[in-house]
Amino acid sequence: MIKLSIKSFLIASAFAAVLGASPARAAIDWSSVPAKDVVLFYPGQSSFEWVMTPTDHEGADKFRGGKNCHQCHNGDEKSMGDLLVSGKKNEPSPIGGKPGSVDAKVKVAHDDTNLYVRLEFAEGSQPNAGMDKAAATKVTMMLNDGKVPEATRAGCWAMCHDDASSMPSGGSATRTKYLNKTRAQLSRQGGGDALKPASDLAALRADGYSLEYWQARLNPGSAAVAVNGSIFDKREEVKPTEVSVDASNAGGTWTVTFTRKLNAGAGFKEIVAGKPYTVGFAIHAGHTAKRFHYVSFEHTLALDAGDADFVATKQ
Amino acid sequence: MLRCFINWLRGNLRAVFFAGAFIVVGVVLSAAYGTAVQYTNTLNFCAHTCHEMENTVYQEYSHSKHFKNEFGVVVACPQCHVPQNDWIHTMGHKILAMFELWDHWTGRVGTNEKFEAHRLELAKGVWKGFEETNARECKHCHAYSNMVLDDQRPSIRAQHTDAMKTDENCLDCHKGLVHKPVQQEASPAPASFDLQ
Repeated sequence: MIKLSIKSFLIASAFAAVLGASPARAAIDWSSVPAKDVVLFYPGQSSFEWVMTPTDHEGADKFRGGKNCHQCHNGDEKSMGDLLVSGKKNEPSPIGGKPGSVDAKVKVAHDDTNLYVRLEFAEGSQPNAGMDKAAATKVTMMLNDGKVPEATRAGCWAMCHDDASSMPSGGSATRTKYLNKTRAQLSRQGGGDALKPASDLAALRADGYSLEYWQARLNPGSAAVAVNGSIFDKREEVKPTEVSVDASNAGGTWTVTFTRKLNAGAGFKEIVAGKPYTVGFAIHAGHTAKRFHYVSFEHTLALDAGDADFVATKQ
Repeated sequence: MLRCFINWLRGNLRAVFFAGAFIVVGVVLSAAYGTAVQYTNTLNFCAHTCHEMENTVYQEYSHSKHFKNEFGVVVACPQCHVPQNDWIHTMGHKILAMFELWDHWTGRVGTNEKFEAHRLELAKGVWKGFEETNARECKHCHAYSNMVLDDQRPSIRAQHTDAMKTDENCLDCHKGLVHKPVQQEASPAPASFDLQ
């Protein structure tokens, strides 16, 4: 009995310690933080190169001329998602019964130490695609501090290339996400494996030309797994993670909160007031992987004040 | 007074005759022109006079919002393709349009296959016309200044807000709205995939 009590105490202490490492729970009164509606839609095989090609994408010239995705397509997400998930356009292997979009309510806040990003969404009735056995749902956020102009313009499409795995020109390649300038040349089929010289890549890295991603791997009834990493010439997970995740599922609605230090050290983007950031969100629902996800357009983020879609105020 | 006028007429009989004839011929020609314009400015004439139009562009148009819509409003071919309320331009357009008979008589676009082979070139000609007039015929009905932007979807509102700043040509975005969209075929393959 005593042994059991001590064991219970130790478990409870450890659990409390874990909770303590996740400051989001204690620090933020989310009821006072305004939410912004973000629609994530099914993109199919619409790659960055597809976006840039006038014979594929009618808005390509407008995009090349300076219009961002969101500027032209804000409000079109649901209809685009329904079209693409149906297999009528840019999706040769549609998943039957999969919804075309997911509505999320997104809140952001910060304190002296951390940035908090909270997504609340119901993924609806999702068929089990069986692609990712380990996670029923994955929520990912891309962060750009303005160093990747393609991501400022096109959000997550900046790293979604035509020759990535499961994309039209991917063939049997296992290629993951990558950024334009790491490749020697880009064509309609993507950039392939030919990288720029090492000195050029080193210069790009030194200039901060990379994206950061935060990911929550979720299964109902289980603790969320937090992952983070970067996108440069490929997607690379960074360990140990500097991101923590607090997630819960109530009646089919996920509430997922990312917490990351404003200054997480070398290799991470410093999040400071007065600097514009771009974020993009993705949700893999129904045990999906790769392109079979929902994606948001690019959204701007600022700390404390600024002309941005999300302004994280201090709590 | 009346006697003076009659005497003047008698003295200028030839001039009076020619003046009268000129007026009568003018009225007849004017009436003929008006009738011809009226007759050729109908959906029935455009769509069903020659099989080249009937089998191709009319079929596409008949499924478009300009032909069938919730309001029952029909926007006939001439309302887009013939200058509206502009006598000089209308006459010029009609004269130029007669050259299209050459294509009919020679059979250059006499079959659907031949029409499709020339469609892009024909479409480019139409787009050029719209560009030269800055989509005058579109704007005859669709005025930027009369758009209720708040009633438009956010994405459309954003586009129109930008477009009205420069009085943009409607066809910059709306090519292929009524007919088969071939504008993408007109675009050259991109040389670069780098964003500037």
